[in-house]
Amino acid sequence: MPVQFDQVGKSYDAFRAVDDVSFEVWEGEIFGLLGPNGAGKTTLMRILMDILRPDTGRALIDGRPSWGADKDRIGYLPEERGLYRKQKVADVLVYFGMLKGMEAGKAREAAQAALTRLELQDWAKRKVQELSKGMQQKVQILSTLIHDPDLVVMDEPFSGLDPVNTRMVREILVDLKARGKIVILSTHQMEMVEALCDRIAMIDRGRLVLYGTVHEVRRAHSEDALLVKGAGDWGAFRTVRAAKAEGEKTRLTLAEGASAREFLAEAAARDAIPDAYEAAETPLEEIFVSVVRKGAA
Amino acid sequence: MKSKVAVVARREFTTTVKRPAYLIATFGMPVFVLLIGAVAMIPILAIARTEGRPKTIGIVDHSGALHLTGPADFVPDMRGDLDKAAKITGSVNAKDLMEKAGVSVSLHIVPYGDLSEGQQAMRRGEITSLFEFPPDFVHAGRIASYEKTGLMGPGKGGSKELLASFVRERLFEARLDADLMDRLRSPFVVDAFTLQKDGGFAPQNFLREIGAVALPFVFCILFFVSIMISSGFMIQGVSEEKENRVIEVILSSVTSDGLMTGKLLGLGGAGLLQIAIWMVPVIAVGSGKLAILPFQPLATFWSLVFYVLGFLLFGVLLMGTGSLGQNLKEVQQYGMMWSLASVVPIIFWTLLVAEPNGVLARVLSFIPLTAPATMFLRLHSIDPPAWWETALSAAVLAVSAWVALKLMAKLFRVGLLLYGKRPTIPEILKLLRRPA
Repeated sequence: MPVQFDQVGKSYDAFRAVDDVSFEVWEGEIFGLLGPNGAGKTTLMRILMDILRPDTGRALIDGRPSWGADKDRIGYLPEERGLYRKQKVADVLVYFGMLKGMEAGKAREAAQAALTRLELQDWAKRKVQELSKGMQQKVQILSTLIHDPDLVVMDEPFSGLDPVNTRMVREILVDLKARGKIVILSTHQMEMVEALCDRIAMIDRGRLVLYGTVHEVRRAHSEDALLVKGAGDWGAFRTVRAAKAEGEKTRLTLAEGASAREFLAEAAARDAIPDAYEAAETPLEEIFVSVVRKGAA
Repeated sequence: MKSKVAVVARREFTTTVKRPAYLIATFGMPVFVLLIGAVAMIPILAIARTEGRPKTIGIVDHSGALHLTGPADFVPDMRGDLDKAAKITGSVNAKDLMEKAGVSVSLHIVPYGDLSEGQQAMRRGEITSLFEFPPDFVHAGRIASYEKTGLMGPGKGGSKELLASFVRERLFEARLDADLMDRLRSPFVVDAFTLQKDGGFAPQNFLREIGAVALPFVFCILFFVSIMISSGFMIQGVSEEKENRVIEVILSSVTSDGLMTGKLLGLGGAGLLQIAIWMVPVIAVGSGKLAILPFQPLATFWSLVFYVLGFLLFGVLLMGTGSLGQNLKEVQQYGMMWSLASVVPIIFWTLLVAEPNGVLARVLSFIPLTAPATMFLRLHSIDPPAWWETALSAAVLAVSAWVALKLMAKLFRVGLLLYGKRPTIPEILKLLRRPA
């Protein structure tokens, strides 16, 4: 069930929260929806979930407007976390499962299996309010996935999780992708986006400012730079403007107008050919910061 | 969609009825009321015992007008009262019933030669009251009374009225013939007839007329109590989603109409169940008394229709506006507004009883908020409204409930998403107009 945002716009009185945003999300991919706080990500997700209606444009799920989409095939983890605090963990999961069209018996089985997978089986009969914040976060994620949705929309799924649980959730997302599901992920953890996402869209001040595969975006925003391995007085090269050690490798920023080929020719001439080299990509975090700063300027 | 309404309704119902507060209120209330009732009965029974016994009074008659030659017993003539009681209860054995209930009244009269002798008897506790008739009594009509207790003491009820009847009989006994004496004792017993729609007259149906006021009153009380009780649950239900911040998750699974309808059915059901349980002891105790009223299947059927539709309308309004509140207290204030609106027909009750088909009654029948209570009254009246008027009023109520559901669902949806923000009236109107 592919997702499509088609020239979506939404205002709150005079404030333009989302402005003419269009992008697509395809089956079998993990898609990162990025942007600074207040950029319009949550509004976009709420429009997709039919919690809000757009002023202009439309959000399509499986080619149909989101308000007519089959809600039972969608799982949503909103920014605003919440569970029925005075109810038992298993009962909450069963209720959410039944609201997604599951039969009571099947929902109970699925809840038990899901709790076991996230090592929460001993807490099934405890009240939600007795759980730690991290445990509640895991229950919340399970409530999003209990009905095995085809489209999963998650706002900051890793917040409040320790590294062990972060890895567990990450594995779940990878598994969803492997099974051909769509995962739309909003997070500020850029290393997670680099590791998990196939493609991303970045929203800033309601507008789409970046869109493409992680590799494409990083390449497009990389200066002409190389990562080289080996010993060499790289900084003295005519074709190199700056050299900076990054672990075993050295990041070389090429001089204005210089190409990788010219650098290699100079290295050969100096008899200082590197053991290995590759085109360097700027980390997403830097791209994020630079795009947001540029937008603010 | 229907099944999701059922899922929401089932959850709301089961979580509500399992709450300790619900169980305590549901099963504790009848026990509490019975206990209070039992305690309250103690002084009533004590008084009834005293009232039921023949009252022994003393008389010092200096006038000689009472012709007292020795102790006398006096039982007043109660034909008029008994006839009325027989018509009300539908029982010919009204006298037996009254005697069983300890209502029978009689006087045991002891004459004394002089005042001090009578006063001594009172001091010894032989009599509760002493009356002195002066020599000029027949002319002046004034007597003195000496009482064991003050105004409000036990055994005070009715002894002076009884004495007056006794004196009247004694004064005229020798001067009137038997028939006139009989009329003096009991002036008349009424056989009443009422003008009918066809212009003829039929014997007045006492029970039917009592039923015309009592039955709608029962419906009204049940209706208001249902709204009051269920509004408490509905208000809790609205703030639950808000306080737990689960509304976004829920709205991604079920539409706001569905959520609201489910909550209305579940929480309303819990409220109605509570009332039904409370009614068990009431029916057990009071069914005998209500059963004597003529049962009118059609009026009862329509009353139930208005009851259900009215309940749904008030529930929808309560939940929709309640969702705008930021916490339980604010939600309760919004709810109070509608609960008060439902009481409006009570203000006009006397007018409506007097003219069940008057302009006011007709107007109130077509205002959705006042229609249920007004129609309870009109349906049970001696002259019920035409079938088309009843059906039209029910249709107006049903359509209003449906429109209210659609509008309030919109408010409910946006209201629940307003965390920590209180909307203004213009904002509310805007919310109702735009898609979401």
